[in-house]
Amino acid sequence: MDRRTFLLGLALSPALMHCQRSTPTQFGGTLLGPNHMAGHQLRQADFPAFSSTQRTKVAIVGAGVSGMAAGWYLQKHQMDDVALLELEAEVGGNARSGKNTISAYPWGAHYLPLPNHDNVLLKQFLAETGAITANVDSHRPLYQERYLCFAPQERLFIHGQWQEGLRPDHGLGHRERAEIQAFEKQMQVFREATGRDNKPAFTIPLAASSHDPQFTMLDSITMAEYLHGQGWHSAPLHWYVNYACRDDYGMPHTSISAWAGIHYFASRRGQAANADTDQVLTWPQGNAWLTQQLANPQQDAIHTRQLVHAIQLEAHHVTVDVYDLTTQQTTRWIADHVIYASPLHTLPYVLRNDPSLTQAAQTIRHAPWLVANLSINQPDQLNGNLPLAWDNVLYDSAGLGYVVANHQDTQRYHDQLVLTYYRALAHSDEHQARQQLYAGTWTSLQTSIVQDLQKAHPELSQHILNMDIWRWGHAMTYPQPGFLTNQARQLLNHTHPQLHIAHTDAAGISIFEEAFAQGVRAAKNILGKNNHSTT
Amino acid sequence: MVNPAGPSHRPGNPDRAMRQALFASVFIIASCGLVYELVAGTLSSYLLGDSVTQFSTVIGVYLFAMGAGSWASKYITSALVRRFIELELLVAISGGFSAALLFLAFAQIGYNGNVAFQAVLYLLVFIIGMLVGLEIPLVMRILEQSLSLKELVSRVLTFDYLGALAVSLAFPLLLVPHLGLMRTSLVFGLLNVLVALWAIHLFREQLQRPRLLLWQCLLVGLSLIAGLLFAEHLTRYSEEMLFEDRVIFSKTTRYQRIVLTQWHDDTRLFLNGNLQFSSRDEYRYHEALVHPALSAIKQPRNVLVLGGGDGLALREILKYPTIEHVTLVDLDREMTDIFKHNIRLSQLNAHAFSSPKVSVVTADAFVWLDQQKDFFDFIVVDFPDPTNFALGKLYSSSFYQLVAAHLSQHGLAVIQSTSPLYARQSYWCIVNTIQSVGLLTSPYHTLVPSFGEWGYVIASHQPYHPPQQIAVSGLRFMTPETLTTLFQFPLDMQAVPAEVNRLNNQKLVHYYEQEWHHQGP
Ligand SMILES: Cc1cc2nc3c(=O)[nH]c(=O)nc-3n(C[C@H](O)[C@H](O)[C@H](O)COP(=O)(O)OP(=O)(O)OC[C@H]3O[C@@H](n4cnc5c(N)ncnc54)[C@H](O)[C@@H]3O)c2cc1C
Repeated sequence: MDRRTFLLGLALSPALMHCQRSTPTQFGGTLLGPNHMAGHQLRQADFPAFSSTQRTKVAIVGAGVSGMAAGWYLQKHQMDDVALLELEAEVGGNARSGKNTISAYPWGAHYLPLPNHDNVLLKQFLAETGAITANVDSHRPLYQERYLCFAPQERLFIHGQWQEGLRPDHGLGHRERAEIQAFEKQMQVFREATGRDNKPAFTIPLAASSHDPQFTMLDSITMAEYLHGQGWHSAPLHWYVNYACRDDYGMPHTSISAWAGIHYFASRRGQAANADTDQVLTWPQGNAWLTQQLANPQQDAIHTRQLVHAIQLEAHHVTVDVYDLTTQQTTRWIADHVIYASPLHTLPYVLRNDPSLTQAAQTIRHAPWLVANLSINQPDQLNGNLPLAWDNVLYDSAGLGYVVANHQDTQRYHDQLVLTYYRALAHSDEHQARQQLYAGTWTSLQTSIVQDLQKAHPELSQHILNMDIWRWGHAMTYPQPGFLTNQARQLLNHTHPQLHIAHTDAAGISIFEEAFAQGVRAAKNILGKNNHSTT
Repeated sequence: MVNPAGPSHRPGNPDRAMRQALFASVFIIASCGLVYELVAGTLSSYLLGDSVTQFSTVIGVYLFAMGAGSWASKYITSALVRRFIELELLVAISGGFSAALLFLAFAQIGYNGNVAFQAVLYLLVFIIGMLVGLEIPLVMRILEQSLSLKELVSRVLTFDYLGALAVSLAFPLLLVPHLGLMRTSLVFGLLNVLVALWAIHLFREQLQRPRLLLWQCLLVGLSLIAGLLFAEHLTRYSEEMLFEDRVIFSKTTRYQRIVLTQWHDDTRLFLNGNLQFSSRDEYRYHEALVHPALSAIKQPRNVLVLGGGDGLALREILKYPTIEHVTLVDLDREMTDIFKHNIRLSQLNAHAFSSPKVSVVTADAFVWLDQQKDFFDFIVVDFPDPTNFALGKLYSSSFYQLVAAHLSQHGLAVIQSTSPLYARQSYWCIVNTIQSVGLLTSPYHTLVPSFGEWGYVIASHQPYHPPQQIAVSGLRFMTPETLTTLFQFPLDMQAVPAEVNRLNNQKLVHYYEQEWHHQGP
């Protein structure tokens, strides 16, 4: 040791002592996930024969967004003879939530962008819930301010510093910035474009988008290929677009259809009297707030802990065999119609006598996801050069960042917060990713999450009080190139006399608006048929 | 024997005793050098915060300057011993007074002039470092004659390091706790003078005009001793310059840092370093806050105060005999507690917290209002300025919606709204935001010398008319005549376009930051 290091060491010793105190504290947590046993049991077809029967006009399998949107629409049109059969103890599916002493928090879906003007039913639903407070029919409805994401909405940790917004900017070179601008400009062009069929090039639900080949052509390549084809090769732009694909679809932009990748940027035109277009609606519990609003008026129709394990399409009715996880008995529901609003990888085990549909369902791909809720103290240490935002993303990270569950509190101070951490195991090989996810223990997953966040928050581990981790093995479907014209998907969306598929798996992309539209579409089909038969 | 100061560039061949004396000086020199470095590092991190950065930059500059000094030593070619003695005296002055100088500089420049202060800091550190860097090479050259290079390097560096070790232990354990920074540096300055004296003594026979050197030593020594005698005063003076007044209470609560200062008859409250009131003119602020609205309400009964944990608005409100009940909601229990129990402070608010009409709720105003169903005839909204997003929520349209929902049909609310002069767009942003929830607004302002021009807004469901009479007596500022003039805005404060402040845009915090950033009060 020479004099210099000696002096430096001496002078820094108070600081060093400070660092040494920071030995990681111990915290606990639980590993959670959707009902695992049920999936196993389904594959084994290990159920008692039915011991009772029930009648209903419409049986809905799964009380996620799509299932409950169907129920909501049916109820609106005086169709009350509905049974919503849900496997879990709680409704909501991918939009479910948890709660502890600090806050409610999401386990999955957590926000809804401002709906487009032509998404009339969704806006109507939002008006019913009080999320839209006035002028629902205008181009710029008034939203409930408390549900609009509070400012600051997003920040990005890049090159050692936080910047506002997620579009990389801090520390970028002139060329890199110019490329991002060119990309944004092109997305704006797509956002305003209409096809020769007079339909918007990209809209929500995606089925309403133009069929003009100049746009649908984009479905034949990946999003990464599209960027390179435009001469855009810079790393920050690719990170940004890749982030969007991972965040929305759970897969890297090298696996996502360019049409779908662009759809993310170009399909949203929703406006508000009191918010900008890029703002979103969010709640502490995430979209579970919305699913709760869907569930409230149809509480009586909802049956939880009901595992649907066999559906038989008969000539004039459908039989739906349901295993009650509480009583461990099977009940046979005899229904005029069944709406299938559960993930389609389960369909082959449930639907026994329609090989073409079964086959189609088997082609659906799913991305695995990981969500963690971290309870932390001393929230100030998360601020850095910019205050904590709702969505906090790290550049070049394996995860997708974290959302602050308490962000929508009106309260001034928080001693503790809940952070919801997201990671899509965005592997080009879905099976391998799933295996990786299930091979993880709480300890290994927890460690990798802390490591990821430590880049921006070196002291985080000392402030974690608890971390619960949720593994979504089949979180959601993702749009690969060719998904638009995919035969199997078209078959699944096709109307069948008694079976209506509503799950977002059949829509091709998994967002609240698609789930809602799918549910409504299924309900409309049934109502159409019903009207027909009664008149 | 060759004259050490002579043209041969060689000092005399010091004998054994002399060598040991010189090694002892090396020990002292090394300790002094390190002390000045530590003093500068400690002081800058104490004053500027962020100790890691302050220490590393101070040490970096210091070591670099030492290098520059060592390099420059080759240009000292004659009269080595004399130069060494003069050098010691320079180190004694610059190092000895370094802490005092930095304190004073900081007190003069203040917290807002960080850059200017840093310029002074690094210049001083550089000068001391350079002088200290000259010392050891000179000593080595003085000793060069009598020792082999091997011996010389080994011994000098040994004492150099030993000196450093001694100080490194003494500095945190003895010096800072017992002497404080200012005295420590002065004492070590005196040690440098001693080394100089010692060197004069050792080389007395070879030095020309040693008396001049002795006089110089005496001068430097006496000024350092004078510094020591006045160190207490100096410290107090510079702290007073910094905090202006004497701190009589300070506490960091869960929510904020509360500091109360007292200077003669002036008591001041600071929250997180921002002035909340000065007892000299707070009556202007609080009379203007309360009376224009409250005097205009017929038979006010039920009053709500949001914020205002100092009880000064309460004091004004309680002057109205018709008032039956006042609810004061403040986030910080510690605030309301000290304004209730501290003698001086409770005198200031006329023991408002002991009034049976007053009930204090410790809660977040937004959350509390959200869960409330009562209506109030008069609502006072007196929060700290919107300096951050947490406070910005309390100026949002959602918040004013709640105020509107709890304001009785003929009631009035008044909102403190920062300065329409210094933060003009912020002020009009608040006005627009209140209007956006359907309330009528009557903006007004007054001069509070310790704040400057200050703004308020009266909000109501029915049009507001300034009262012809002020219903209470014994005021020190407000008259019915002055009251009506407050609603006139001169050109430099008139309305400017501003967006509505919403929870989802926090516009006000952005305006406020821009405006106060560009033209501080
Ligand atoms: C981690 C994550 C984050 C997301 N974030 C967002 C977001 O922020 N915004 C957004 O718009 N979208 C988001 N999504 C997409 C989300 O999937 C959709 O918004 C929507 O919730 C999908 O609804 P669904 O009805 O199609 O399907 P699901 O939510 O999958 O609902 C299916 C339901 O069926 C039940 N079920 C399954 N099998 C059976 C059976 N055999 N018998 C009975 N019931 C059964 C399930 O328990 C479940 O309740 C996210 C998804 C994930 C996984």
